[in-house]
Amino acid sequence: MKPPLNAGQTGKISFPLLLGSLCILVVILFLFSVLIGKVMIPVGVIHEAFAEVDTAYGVIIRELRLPRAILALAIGAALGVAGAALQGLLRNPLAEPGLIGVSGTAALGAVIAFYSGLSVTFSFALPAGGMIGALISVVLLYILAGRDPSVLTLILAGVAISALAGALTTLALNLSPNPYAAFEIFFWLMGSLADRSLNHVALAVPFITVGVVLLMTTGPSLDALTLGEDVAQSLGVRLSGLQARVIIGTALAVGASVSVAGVIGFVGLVVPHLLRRAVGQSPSRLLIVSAPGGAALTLAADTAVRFLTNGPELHLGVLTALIGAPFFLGLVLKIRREG
Amino acid sequence: MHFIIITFVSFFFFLSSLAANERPERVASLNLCTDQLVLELLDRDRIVSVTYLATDPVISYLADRAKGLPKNHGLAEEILPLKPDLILAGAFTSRPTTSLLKRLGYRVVVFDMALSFDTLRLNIIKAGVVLREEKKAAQLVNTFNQHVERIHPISGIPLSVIVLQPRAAGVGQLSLLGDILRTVGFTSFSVTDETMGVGWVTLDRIIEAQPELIISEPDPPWPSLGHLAMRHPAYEAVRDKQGRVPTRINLPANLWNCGGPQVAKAVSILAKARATALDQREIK
Repeated sequence: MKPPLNAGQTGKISFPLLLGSLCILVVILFLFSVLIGKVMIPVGVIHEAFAEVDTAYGVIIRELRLPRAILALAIGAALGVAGAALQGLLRNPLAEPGLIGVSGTAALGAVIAFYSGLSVTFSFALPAGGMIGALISVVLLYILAGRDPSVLTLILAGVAISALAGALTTLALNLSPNPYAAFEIFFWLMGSLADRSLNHVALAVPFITVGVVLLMTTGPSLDALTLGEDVAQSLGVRLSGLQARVIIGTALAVGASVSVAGVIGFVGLVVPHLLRRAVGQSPSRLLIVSAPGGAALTLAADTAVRFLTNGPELHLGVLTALIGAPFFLGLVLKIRREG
Repeated sequence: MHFIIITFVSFFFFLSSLAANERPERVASLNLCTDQLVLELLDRDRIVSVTYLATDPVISYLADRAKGLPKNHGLAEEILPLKPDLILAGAFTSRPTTSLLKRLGYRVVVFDMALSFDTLRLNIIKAGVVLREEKKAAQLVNTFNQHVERIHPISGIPLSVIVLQPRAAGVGQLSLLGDILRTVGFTSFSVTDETMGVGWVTLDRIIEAQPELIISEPDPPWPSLGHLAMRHPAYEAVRDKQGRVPTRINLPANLWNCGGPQVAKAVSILAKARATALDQREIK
């Protein structure tokens, strides 16, 4: 890894400027997400969302668009930060919640929580299932791949975990009394924010927030870690504590995200990759800017899917994969060249 | 018009069946909708197997009659030991299965999905012919016709209606529903193309359409993402153009997911719903 010291000077634009412009971008995209869709909302009626009497526009804004925009914001931030944190901890730019099997295992947890009927009686079972699934997979990955894995080990471990999660998900669906369960989950797994409600926001966003905050606290330790484990320890970083924070933070943020939105891949790969050079290879700064970066990408993608196809909406996860896969391939080539 | 077609087709089937065989005594069905035809037309002792879906009352209208019959999951190996002399399959039954059974010398008759009242009648007649229960089948079609003809919708009064479906991708069925809605006299659909044809309606379009009537299904006993989506809190806030809460009608899926005599019940439920909705409009 390249030296992170005097990181601020290697960036092409100053850090506050970058952060500020990303935040402004998020605000603009959030507004777009609320106003644009199959039904176009005129800017002048936004206040109707909070009026005493329900109007059609008011209901659409309050019950449909707002939850959708909030979830896109929170989930995008969660995926971006989780990607940046995992990459920092494993010191590997290919670490991403989707690629290494965290999202798939979180989906397994959510599927079990839903189709066992648990989430019908106890609605928090859904995010709980997602978070437990995510937690298991990160721990498993850590055991399988070790602390400083090669690209090959990491990806192979991810493939193994994903395959296992996929198989168990299919098993769970086969055991479900719902004859359409497999069909429903086939689409759900592609990831979408369509027609989510404020209930979903209440279920997921608190956990996502705690997870993201926890991940943010790992910044200084991750910076130290770029100098190697020994140096980091001599600088006072407790490795086990750092690992625990990244693992639990990822589990909370990604698990809760997946449980309400399905699998939205590659955000955690693309966003840190795009922003890494601009923050001068500093993991702590990358963590911070990956939050608005991930939010912006997810908000933009989630607004775009409403128009990309005629008929049924394109699933968000499909679009992020279409954007992300070329990045992944590019990264693989780059790593191969660097040998 | 459909009577002529049906007479012609049934005559054709009759001729072909004369050539083919005698009365089948061991009938197996590989499709939920052919299950319904078999259960409707045959006595239990002539049925050797129906699908495992046939006993689920949520999707199978004749679930009671299917209880206790051997079940299959659409696999050839489940059917072979039963030594059926006739196998009914749906157009969506796995191709390898039907072609394997045919190659092994079994008599397999494939039924198209009923996408209109005409195919519904045709399927009943066709089943009557291959099962050698022509009279029973003709009776079922007659009763169905009488039911449908008894509906005299007050036409010309538009009433906006939205049909909610879990997993709206089960689209083929929508056209049968389209025939049902037309018969009942729903002439105006707020989200016209999507609701009538094969299509998807997004929730924001539904709210914007301000429907007077919302048709959905009762919740099944099993957890279902599709049904959960139909309970989105936004529906609580949907109002029609006069600001009233739209009437909600529960239309059980088993009344129209397969084309059969039970569709007449769906027709009468919706006819009643439409009449009530129009009455209420006059009162207010």
